[in-house]
Amino acid sequence: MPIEPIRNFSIIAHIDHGKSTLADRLIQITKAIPERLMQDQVLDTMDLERERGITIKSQAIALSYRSRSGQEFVLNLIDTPGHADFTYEVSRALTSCEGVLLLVDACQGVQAQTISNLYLALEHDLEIIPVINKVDKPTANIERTREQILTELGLDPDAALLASGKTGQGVEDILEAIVQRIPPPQGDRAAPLTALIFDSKYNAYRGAVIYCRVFDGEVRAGDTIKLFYSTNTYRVEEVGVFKIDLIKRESLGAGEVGYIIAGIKSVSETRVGDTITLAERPAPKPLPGYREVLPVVFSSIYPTNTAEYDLLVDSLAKLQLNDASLQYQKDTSSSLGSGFRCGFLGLLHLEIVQERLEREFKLDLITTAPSVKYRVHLKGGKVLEIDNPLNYPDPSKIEKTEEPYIRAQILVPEKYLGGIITHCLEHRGLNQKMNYSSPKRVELYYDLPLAEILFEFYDQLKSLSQGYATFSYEPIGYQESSLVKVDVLVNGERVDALSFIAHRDRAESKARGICERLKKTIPRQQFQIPIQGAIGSRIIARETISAYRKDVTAKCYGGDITRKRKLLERQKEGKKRMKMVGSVEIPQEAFLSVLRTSPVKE
Amino acid sequence: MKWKAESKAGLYLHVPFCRKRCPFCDFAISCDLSKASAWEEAIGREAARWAGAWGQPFDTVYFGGGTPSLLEPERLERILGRLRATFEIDGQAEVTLEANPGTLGPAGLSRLFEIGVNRLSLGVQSFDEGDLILLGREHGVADSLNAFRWARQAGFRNQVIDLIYGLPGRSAEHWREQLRRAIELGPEHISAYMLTYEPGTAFTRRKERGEFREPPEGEALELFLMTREELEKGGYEHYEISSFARPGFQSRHNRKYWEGAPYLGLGPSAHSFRDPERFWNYPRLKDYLDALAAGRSPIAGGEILSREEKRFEQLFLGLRTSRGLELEEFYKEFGEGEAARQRPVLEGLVESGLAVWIGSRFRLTARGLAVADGLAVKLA
Repeated sequence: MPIEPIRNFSIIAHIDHGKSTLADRLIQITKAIPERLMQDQVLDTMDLERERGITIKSQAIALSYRSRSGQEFVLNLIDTPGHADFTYEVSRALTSCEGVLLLVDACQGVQAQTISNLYLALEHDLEIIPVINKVDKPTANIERTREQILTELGLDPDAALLASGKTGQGVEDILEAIVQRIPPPQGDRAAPLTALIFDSKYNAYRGAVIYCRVFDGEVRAGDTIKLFYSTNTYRVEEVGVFKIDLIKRESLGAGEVGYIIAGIKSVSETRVGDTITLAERPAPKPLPGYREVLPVVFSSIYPTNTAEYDLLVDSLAKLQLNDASLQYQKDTSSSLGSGFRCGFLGLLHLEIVQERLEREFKLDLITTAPSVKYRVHLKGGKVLEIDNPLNYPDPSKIEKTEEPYIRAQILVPEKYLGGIITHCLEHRGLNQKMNYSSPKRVELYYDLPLAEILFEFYDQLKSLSQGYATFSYEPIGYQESSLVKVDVLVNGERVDALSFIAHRDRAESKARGICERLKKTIPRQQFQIPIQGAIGSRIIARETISAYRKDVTAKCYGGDITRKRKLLERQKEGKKRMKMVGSVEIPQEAFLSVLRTSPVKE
Repeated sequence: MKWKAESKAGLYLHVPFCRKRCPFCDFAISCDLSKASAWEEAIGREAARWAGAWGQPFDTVYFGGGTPSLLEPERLERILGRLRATFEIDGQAEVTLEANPGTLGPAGLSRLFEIGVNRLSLGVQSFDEGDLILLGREHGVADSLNAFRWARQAGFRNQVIDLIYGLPGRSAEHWREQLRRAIELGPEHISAYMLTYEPGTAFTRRKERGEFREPPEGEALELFLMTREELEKGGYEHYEISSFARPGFQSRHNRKYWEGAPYLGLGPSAHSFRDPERFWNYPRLKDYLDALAAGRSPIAGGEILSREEKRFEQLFLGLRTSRGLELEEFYKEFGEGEAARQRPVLEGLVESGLAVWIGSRFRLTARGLAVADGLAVKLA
């Protein structure tokens, strides 16, 4: 189709400011989906997404709109994931747009994420349409919100639209504003093809379905396409656009958003950010901004019941078809048996994978404490990358150790500054820069070890600033750091699945925290169980689980052995989710409680 | 360790009658003694149903209850005669009868001995009058001492006394005193049961109301260990959780339950076992009588033990006894992979002092026996 009547846009908002409801309303008003098929939050297709109220992966839909002047438009709404683990995917989705609707809840006003989203949009040079949402609510304060749009966001409050996703009020105005204010895409249909992959999904019958935005050129069924990054070529089977289903089209041309199906077996071949071009007439260079998304968090997954290993193998393979960022390889623990070492984009990603494995594949899993990838320089110059404590070398062979650092940018109202600085220092942060970006807002830059921000750092940051601090980070490479491997011994036996790597100064408090948690989660057994944290042979933390000493029932009820057996069988049932390490039964929760550990406060 | 399917069987008779229900008891009993004749007839019918079908000799007979000593000796004689006529019962069979002190005089006891009862199990429970009142017993201490003496005079050379410990509000020293009195009396066998609060009993209700307190774990262990220590000093071997015997006087009948030997139970609620099958009769006297009166089987239910169930039973029953488990045979029967998996666990238990190896037998120590239930679950 011609490029002029196309508008590509996204909706960005602080959590719960009504993004999904407004998207639903836009879809409904433009009749992109028949009424009978409407369900709340149509864009969030996975159950998990609907439950957690977050959009895990982006989606897209094409809306048809006849403007007030009677012209027909196609509005491509590209939804974006809402979590820091998927920042890169958000950036690729925004690259595919020319404008955004920036939602602000009329009751809550401008919030932390409103600001960070604004910055993202500005980075991508997008036209921003502020929308004051939920104006129908009795507690709506439109005037205050307008003022904040001016003072906090630096946008023209007169440009803000008033709307309610719930009642539909103002939604027509939004559609009109999209066609009026957001520029049509730029592009040359006659130029060599460049199309950006912003997502891809696996379909059991058709293989990978590429979600892309065409910048230049044109692609149609029968073309042979080439991917710049993966360098593979594929023959296009079908192209089309997104309605509730995929709608087949002759071609996709410059400015359009749509899908390509090309017999691609797995989404791991269609990396987000890769550029599609035609094999016969390739573009001279790919679109800018490709980044290989590498896992930063590593954790091992074991089936609680070792007999479920084969099921885990199959399940991971199936999951990976749909999740290119999931990486895994075989791993063996002496305490937990066979499993997989997996790489994730972040902790949320880890949780999602774990939850999907348990829910969709009915697996019962034990996940080990997440780790980052450390670098260990051995005497003699060899360098090892270690993301699994099981592979940590003998300390006597180590020359020096390094850990990955990030540079964090934190935007925070001045009054929370003190707490945030302490928080960063407690996590081994090093202040690099501090700007007063506006009279009341401070911009902080801290270099922090990646390992320190993995766990509850972000949540704590939010609670310390009552939700106002924004946090973003970029990796800045490795820095020397004094690392140790800490082992956890239960009843004198090293439980390899509980070992972790930590900074020397943090090892003791972390080990103490783990021992305390294990003491709480491992049930008393028939003998005393020492729980120890150790660096090599040096014990740095210790707890003891006392024994229970009497449980036997006096009688076997004459010949009624059945009754006694049933009684004991019930106890046996309760132990199904336990792992026997030496002679100690360790429940699954014990491994999980360690997963969530952040150092115990002194 | 093969279950002793090839060994001789045990015959159990449930005599459901009691004058009144004791406040700690949840057994299947009836206080309607007028049903004794009907019960006797039903036992006869039930035995007759098995006459050809059981086809295995017995070398133990056990009258349990209830209060078997409430039955007239003549009735018992008729029943024993009937059983001997119906089944093949070894001439040297161990014939046990549970009796309450105060229910039998010297003449009755002599009569019992004459008709072939050779092991008398007296429900003494305690040598303290206050304990007996608390336990709702109808007898006094003197009744116990008399019954014991009369039984000896009647000819009984194999006597058992039952004791209960862990009573609310009683000290450890109080219990030690009971043990000393028991040893002084000198039975061949002592069964010492720690009070169990069974659901639905008056004792359990009183515990729930806060009137009674179960001894906390530490005290319970102390009582358990003290029992063993005192009785071993007195010359009794601790051969099962609650059972102590002079050499040669272990209960042949009870051991059948623990070692997987066959047993046939007659009477309401009685259980029977013949590897791999276990079945049980209606627990209520009325249902039991009605079934047999109508010519129907009194069997209320049963199960065929799966391999796994059998394995588990052998395990937890074996761990309760001083013989322990013959592990080599056990694993030969149930899998070598199992042996490899369990080896570190077994060693851990030995190291913790909860078990010992006696050659290839794995046996729990005193402290191990105190947690035998949990250990069975751990090793399952």
